[in-house]
Amino acid sequence: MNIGRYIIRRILLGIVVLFGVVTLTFVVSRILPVDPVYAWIGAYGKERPYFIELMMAKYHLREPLWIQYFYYLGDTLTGNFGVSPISGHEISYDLSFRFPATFELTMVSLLVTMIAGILLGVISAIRKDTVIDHVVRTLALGVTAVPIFWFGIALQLIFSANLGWFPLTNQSDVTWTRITGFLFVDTLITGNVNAFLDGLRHIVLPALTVSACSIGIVARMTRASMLEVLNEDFVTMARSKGLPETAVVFRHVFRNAAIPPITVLGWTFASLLQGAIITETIFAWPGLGTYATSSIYQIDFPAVMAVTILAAINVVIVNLLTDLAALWADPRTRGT
Amino acid sequence: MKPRIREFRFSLYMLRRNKVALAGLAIVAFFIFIGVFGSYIAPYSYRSINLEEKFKPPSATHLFGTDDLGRDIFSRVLYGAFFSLKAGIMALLMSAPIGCLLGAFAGYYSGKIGEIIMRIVDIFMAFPALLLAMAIAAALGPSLENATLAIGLVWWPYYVRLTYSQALSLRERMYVEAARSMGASDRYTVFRHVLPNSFAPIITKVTMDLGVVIGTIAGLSFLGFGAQPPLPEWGRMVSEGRIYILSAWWEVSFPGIMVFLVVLGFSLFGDALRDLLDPKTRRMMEVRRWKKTLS
Amino acid sequence: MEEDSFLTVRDLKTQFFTYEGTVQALDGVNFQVKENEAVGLVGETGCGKSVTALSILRLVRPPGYIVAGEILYKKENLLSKTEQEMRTIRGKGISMVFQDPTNCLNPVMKVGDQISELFIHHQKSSKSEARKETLELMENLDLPDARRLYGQYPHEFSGGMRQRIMLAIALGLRPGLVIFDEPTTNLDVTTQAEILEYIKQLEEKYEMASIWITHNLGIVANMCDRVAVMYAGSVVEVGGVSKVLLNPAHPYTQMLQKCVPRLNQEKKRLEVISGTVPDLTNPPKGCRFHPRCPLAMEKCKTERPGQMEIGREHLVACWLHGK
Repeated sequence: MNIGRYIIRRILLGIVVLFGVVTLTFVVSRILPVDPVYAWIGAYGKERPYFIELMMAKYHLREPLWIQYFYYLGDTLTGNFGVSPISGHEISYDLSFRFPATFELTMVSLLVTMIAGILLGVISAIRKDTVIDHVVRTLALGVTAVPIFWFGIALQLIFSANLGWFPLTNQSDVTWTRITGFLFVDTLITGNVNAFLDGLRHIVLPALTVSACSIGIVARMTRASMLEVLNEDFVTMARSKGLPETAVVFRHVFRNAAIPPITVLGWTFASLLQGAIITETIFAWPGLGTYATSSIYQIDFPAVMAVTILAAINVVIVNLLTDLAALWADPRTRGT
Repeated sequence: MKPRIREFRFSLYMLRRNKVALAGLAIVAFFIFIGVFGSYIAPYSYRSINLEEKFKPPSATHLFGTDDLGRDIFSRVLYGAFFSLKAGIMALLMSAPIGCLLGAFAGYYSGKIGEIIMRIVDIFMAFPALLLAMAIAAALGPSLENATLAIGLVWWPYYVRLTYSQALSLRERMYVEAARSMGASDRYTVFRHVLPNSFAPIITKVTMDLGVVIGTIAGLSFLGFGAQPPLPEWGRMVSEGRIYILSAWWEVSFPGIMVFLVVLGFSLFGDALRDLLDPKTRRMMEVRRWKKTLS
Repeated sequence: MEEDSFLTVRDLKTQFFTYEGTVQALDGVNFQVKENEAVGLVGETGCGKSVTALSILRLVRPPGYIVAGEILYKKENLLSKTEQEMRTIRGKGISMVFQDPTNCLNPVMKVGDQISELFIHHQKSSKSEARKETLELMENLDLPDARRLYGQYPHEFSGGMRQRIMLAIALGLRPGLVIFDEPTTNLDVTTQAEILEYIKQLEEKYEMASIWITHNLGIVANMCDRVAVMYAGSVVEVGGVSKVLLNPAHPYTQMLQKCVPRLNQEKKRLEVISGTVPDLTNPPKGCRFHPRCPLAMEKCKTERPGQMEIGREHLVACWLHGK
């Protein structure tokens, strides 16, 4: 049970999967398009043979497959995804422009999911079988089942259209200067408090929509974990020391119960990404979700490939990090 | 046969005690009922356009109101059940059996081949299912059939994982016994024992997945990659009705509620099924009195 | 007789309310512990020994409830105290050493912190003061390399070591009564002997009363002054160790004696007590032992015997010894 070796194995595994992801997308990208000219170059290029030759050279489409593969690997590593035949931009530019908005949305949603989920799970565990417990459990189950698209619309209907508490769509209504592209960072840098608060108001409904499904899962996992730990002998032991119940719950039970849910974090993240795609469409959020949807709809082939690879790489890395975090959190696996 | 009947009656007893599970079962049964018989119950056809009657709120003649083309939403919702049910079943029929077989194989030949198969599964699982399904559906041309196909192509990795871990744990158990007694018919025994013993978690997962798959197909249709008009698929109906949400809330709400109920119903029922089929929880219920007797 | 008693358990009844019925775990437990006295509590698994210990500390959780009786600690009834008051008693006045050292220490907390908790919560010490006191305690108890030990985690120690840490926790605040719940059952024989020796030394160092819960008559003979024999939720015999073990009055105690294999015996088969522990949701009427008792009379089946005195401080609950 050598922990060092296990960590190395796990990291290697992650790298292998990453390689596999890139390779798979490469294979698909070369097999799928019936007409490579149209796929990679777009309608513009169809009539212009000189342009076609130029683009074919740029994408190395005339070379043998394995040479193409090397270029592909290199390009992916450097983030060069080519030019979008629809928007005309370098895809990497489009991606980096859109990325911050999705990142902020995902991070805020993750925070909400974790805090709300864990809190609800702990409460329903220590008040097991009471009214609170049943209410929380039913809510958790219900919220997980709600289809994201409908939930977002419902939120819009109730809280925006009817109650007017939050804005309906978009990331912000106040202008702000782009420095890094992250609204919350840039507005703080420029001291634009107005825009910062406005950004907060705008992110509430979308974040709730994205977290909806995951909160239930985290709450249930936390509850189950807490209940298991509450049955352990060392909890009775802690009580026999005369410790107040809050100390027992938080210092003893929670620290142990919190470890399994960390592993769920990885999967939660993947489902958050999917939730973001739909949510961004509903709330007209200027992020990668809407980018993905419109690229797919317009069959912007290079863009779709790029988003897919990016998403997959993200998932693999996050899973790796959460696995390592789970190992570190438990002193028994942390090792000496 | 006697012990089997006793077990079955005990299952019914457990089910009856769990009100939440009953609710789930009721919803599922209701859904399947309208899925099968919806077209006979519906007062109107899902296509019948009647521009005189457009945007009518829920009333006696139109239980759920009418949409922007005067079509009766109640009827459309009922028809929608059929389409969703069919789509969900087809998608799972495509992905579950293949996934399970692959998983059983990987589990049996565990070692190099098993590892390789599981790595490939890992690679596929790295891609967000929705994204892949969107891309596939778009590439093939948006339609309900293609959306179903897309989900079917994307959902199998989960079943591989499930069956693989089942096969592994069973193999551990079987290995010792097989080594002692039979030795021969090793492979056949594994197939005769692995798959039947994995049934419980597989069936549970299929049940819960049915709801999720239907929800995902609705999501795809919502985004425009699934069912196309005039098909009364619930997700599609929600996106069509979105524009009129402020004036005609019924067009969006009822299909949405239906999707919610279906996903919830299968989720609850699947949960209950899991408790029912898991030998540990069953034993816990029977042995409860002894568990609480401390020394 | 009760004047010099440190802890008196009188007619204690604890029940567990489950779906399948009410488990009458303790049905009138009676015994006393005097100051600095070691009293053994023996019986088969399922007779209620651990439940008694938990009841004394009022650690019984739902669906278990203490439904009747008195537990007099320093003349005060523990059952009428508030939870707040109980917390001051737990760990400080009465403490407990648990059976399984593997599961009784928090795996994600440093061992030293688990000891210093006592000082933080009972004496309102600051973290650094508590740490100092913990190190002192560990040194007094001959725990080697205290400073290093403090920062380690339970899984880094052997079973015997963990048990010593548990002892440190139990003795940290010098309680007047320590309950040992089968503290050596999960250890190998050599370590068992070591720990028992260790505890003996501690008992000489500190003055404390103790209750020894065990099914091992050998330990009782070794460590206890008096012993109470439990069966199916009540004490059937109680008295001085030599009296009870050499001259058992209750049929159950007699059979227990026979079960212990002795080196100088010629017997080839091990003796067992026929039958099984009764179902406590539906216990036998009258004396709970009568279905298994070879000397059962008609009266035993209907009337429950109370504790009757048959010698100096030797009590038996059996109709054979009284009317």
